[in-house]
Amino acid sequence: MNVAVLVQQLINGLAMGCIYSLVALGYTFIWNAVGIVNLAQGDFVTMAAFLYAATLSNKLGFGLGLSLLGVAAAMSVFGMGAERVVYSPLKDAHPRAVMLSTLALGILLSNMYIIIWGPYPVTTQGPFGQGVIHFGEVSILKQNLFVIVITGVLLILQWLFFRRTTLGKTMRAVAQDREAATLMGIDTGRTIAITFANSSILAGIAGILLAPLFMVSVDLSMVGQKGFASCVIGGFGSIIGATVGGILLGTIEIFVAGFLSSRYKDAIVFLILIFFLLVRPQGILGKKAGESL
Amino acid sequence: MLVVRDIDVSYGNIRALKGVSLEVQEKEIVCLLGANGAGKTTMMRAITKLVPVQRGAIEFMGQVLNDMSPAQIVRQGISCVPEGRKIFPEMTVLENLEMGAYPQGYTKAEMDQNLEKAFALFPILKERMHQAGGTLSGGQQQMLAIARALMAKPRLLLLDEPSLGLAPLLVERVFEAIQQINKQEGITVLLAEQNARMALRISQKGYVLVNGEITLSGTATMLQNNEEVKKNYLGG
Repeated sequence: MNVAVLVQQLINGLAMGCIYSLVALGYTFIWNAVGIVNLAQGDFVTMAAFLYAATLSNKLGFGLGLSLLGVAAAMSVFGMGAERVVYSPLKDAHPRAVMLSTLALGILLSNMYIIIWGPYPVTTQGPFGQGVIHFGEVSILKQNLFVIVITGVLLILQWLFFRRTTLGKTMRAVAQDREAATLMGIDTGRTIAITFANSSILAGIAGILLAPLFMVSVDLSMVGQKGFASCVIGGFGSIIGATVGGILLGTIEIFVAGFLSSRYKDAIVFLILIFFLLVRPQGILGKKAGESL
Repeated sequence: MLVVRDIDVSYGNIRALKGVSLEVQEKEIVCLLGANGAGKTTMMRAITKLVPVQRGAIEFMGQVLNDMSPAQIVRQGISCVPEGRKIFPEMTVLENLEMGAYPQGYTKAEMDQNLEKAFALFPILKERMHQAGGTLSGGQQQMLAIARALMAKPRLLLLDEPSLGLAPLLVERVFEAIQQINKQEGITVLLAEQNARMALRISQKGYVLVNGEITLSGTATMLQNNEEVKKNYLGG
């Protein structure tokens, strides 16, 4: 096996992993804020992918910048709406009830997509089409490099947002101790709605990044499960864990597909998930095992 | 300044406060004494609106608080140091203090000025400024919780069991700080405590809460000499 292929696969894996990381971070922020797993997270990704591929890009001919803005705006409004419908009315109920309601939202959404965008997969070129960059013997899809760069920028922006802005800090405060945050005069309901919006934007950007690499269909919500697996591997609730877990999972997946068989890559991902659940349920970076749901 | 008039608070079928009334005058330190489960924390939660009040009224500076949200109450000038301190464990000392200042929306200069005041009161917090709140010792966390509450520039400070779990020397230090806040800043204090000896030493007035009802009230000197209080709360 030559080094060029190895590097190529590593970069492809990294790109896939970046997308999983974004999805995993979406789970993490909602989990930290309200202690539930948003089971519709994968369907949020699909929504953004359809919106970008079928409507904004293919139909309206929007460029990448305008599409990013449009999807971010739509997803933030949608995220806050979803919080009002699936979380807010049930916030005093058992977390299981809230998770069931997110599951129901996911089923509703995936059927809505078929009604709105039709049953057939949609393809879109994206900004780079099938364009390839060569570094010596290594050739890399421009879209994959783009995914890595955008994710890197986004991670830095998120870090700055949570560390430097008052809104970001209040979101951390609410996640760490909601009652104390209330005593500080923080509007916790509004803060949680914004947390849902932020997670939805992350899912949205993941959708935009995925759309040119895959055919966009309701099956794309599979990345939700991969993002969930990333959280478990990295340590549920850990921000760094979600990032590391995602990148690790994406890389493993691409290597399995490249060197074993692409037919088994999903099976292997879920075998890894089961392995972690059995052997190290707190994940790589998790501190303690959470209470059972 | 603060008038609590005949309030009832229930959790489900359990009546935690039954027709409780109390009054705090401006610039006073008033203590609320009672054993575990007597209703001290519920009283604090009722004033800060973390639990709803079923009957009666709570007034602050002539304004009825009953229909206000917790956020509105902070903005009226009531800050609370909750039981168990409840600092934000993964935020730095500085960030915890910034959260305390949230209702004021300070400019950078005002923030720095208020931080300096907090650090003057508790110099250890300045040394630990960039350390995560959760890594502080119990006493330091209590100081941080008090400093955080003061960042909102309250007129009335509620303290729920500040001595809980602290070594005697630290209790001494925390109570000194409470007195200092009261004297130098003119901040009124309502102090819920099991440690009656320490609480009565710095208070002007006190109330004794038993099973959700006020059974005794009066000046601190009167309570210190009361046989009932001596027997039950001051260890004979």
